[in-house]
Amino acid sequence: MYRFKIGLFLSLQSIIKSQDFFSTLTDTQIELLSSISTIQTYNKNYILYYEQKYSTELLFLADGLAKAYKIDKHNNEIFLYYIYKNSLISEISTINEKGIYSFSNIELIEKSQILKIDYKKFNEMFLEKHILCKSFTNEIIKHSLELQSLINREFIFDSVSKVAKMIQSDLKMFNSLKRHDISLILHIQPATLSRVLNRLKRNKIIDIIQGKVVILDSVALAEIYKG
Amino acid sequence: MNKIKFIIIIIFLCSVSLIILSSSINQSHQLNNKFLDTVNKQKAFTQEISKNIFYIYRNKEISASQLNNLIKKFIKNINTNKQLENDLKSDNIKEQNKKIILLWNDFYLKVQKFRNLNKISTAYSNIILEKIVKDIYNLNLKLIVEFDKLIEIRQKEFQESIKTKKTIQYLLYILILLLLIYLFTQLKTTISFIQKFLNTSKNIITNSTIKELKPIELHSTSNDVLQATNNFNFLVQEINNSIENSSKSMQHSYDSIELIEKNIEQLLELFYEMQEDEKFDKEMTKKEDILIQSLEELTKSSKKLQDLKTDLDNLIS
Repeated sequence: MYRFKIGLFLSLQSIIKSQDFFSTLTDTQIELLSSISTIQTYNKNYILYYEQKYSTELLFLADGLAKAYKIDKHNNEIFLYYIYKNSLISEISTINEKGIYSFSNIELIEKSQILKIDYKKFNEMFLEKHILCKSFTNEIIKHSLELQSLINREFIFDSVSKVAKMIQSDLKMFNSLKRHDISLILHIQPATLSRVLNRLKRNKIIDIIQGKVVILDSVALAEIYKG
Repeated sequence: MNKIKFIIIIIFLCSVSLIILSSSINQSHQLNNKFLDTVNKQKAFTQEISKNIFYIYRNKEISASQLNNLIKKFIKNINTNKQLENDLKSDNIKEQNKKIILLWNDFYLKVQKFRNLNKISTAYSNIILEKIVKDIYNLNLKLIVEFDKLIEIRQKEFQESIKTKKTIQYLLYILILLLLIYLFTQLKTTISFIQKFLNTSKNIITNSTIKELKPIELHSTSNDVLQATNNFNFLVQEINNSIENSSKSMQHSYDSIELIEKNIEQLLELFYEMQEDEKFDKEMTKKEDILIQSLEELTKSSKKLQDLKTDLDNLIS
């Protein structure tokens, strides 16, 4: 039992070490962080938390894939962004409080490993001593970039640009998802997605082989959303 | 509404008058009671003095201090009585009081004589003393009769003085009662309107619906109530009309969007056919993108319209 606990502890430390966010920490600091952290594995489609909920834990996606979304008053899902492994999940709105209020719902779309850290103690042990502040700022910048991309997608891009941008930036993801899910993510109708793919294929910018998209003209594809 | 305001003002004024009148009657009662109390005290004092004289006459060794004390009290009471007499301002009472004072002076003189002769004990003085005691007895009886007359005069005058005030008081009571009954009949229709209005409002709140609102049916003679009923019914009619119109408009918009969608789809198909054998044309592609986006926007609008219709249906169902 004791050996099992040590094994778990070591595994937790190695997971923390593997995260870019904690790459600047010393071994002592990692050990300290391990004492206020837990690691948990959840299955696909598990809702990690709902919007407007208060949490006392800071969450990191150690492994897997998650998505942030909101629900409108007609119960439509509004996709916001993906959260990839090695990223901060929690949305930081303030560093003065002892907990965090969630802005959106977080659902795991793959079996995932979540690193949970006691936010109050983390604040006292690290942030208040100006440790990890740079990593913290980087994560906030990442969130800001996600929001910029969201603004582009929802207010600036037309349907063709949205599809082009997604194919260009994350082709692997595009091919792994069903067409219906892609239309949900891009917030366009499935028929529109089909028309856009047809238009890109006819213009010989992409090709569709056995349902998978292949980029033929990367420059022309980028030109579509860059204008 | 002006009539109701006028009635309320009259009721208020009547109530104030009634309060003032009641206060005045109360004051008269107090003054009368005080006067009667003084007269009764004086009556009691003369009786006490007479009794004391008989007692001293029978028991010579008894001190005359109590007698002196009673005389002092009587004289003091005469002053109070004079003051009250001035307040009452009655000639009959003044006249009667004069009679009493004359009798009292005579009575007092006899009492003084008794006090002086009582100290001497001779055969002659005893005869005179007996006569004085008899006189005192008779004068006391006369005084009691005159005091009773005074009380009677006062009671009679008092009853007459408050008779008018009491009549006015009863009239004011009846007037206020009649005005309240009239006010109630006037308010009945207004209350009925308010009740119906509240019931309709309550129905809207509890059922969370504004579908098929029914107008208020009220037969009233009051112009204000009729106007309020008409205004409310007009509002109900407007709500019903607007719900019907918005539902129709949404259906019409929805049909129009569907028609435009079909037209754009046909146009897109035409584009595909035109581009099939030709080379990549940038301008044509831009136009195709615009058409794709238009179709997307139309489909979104159509969906939003559907959501809006669901919201409206929820509101009125």
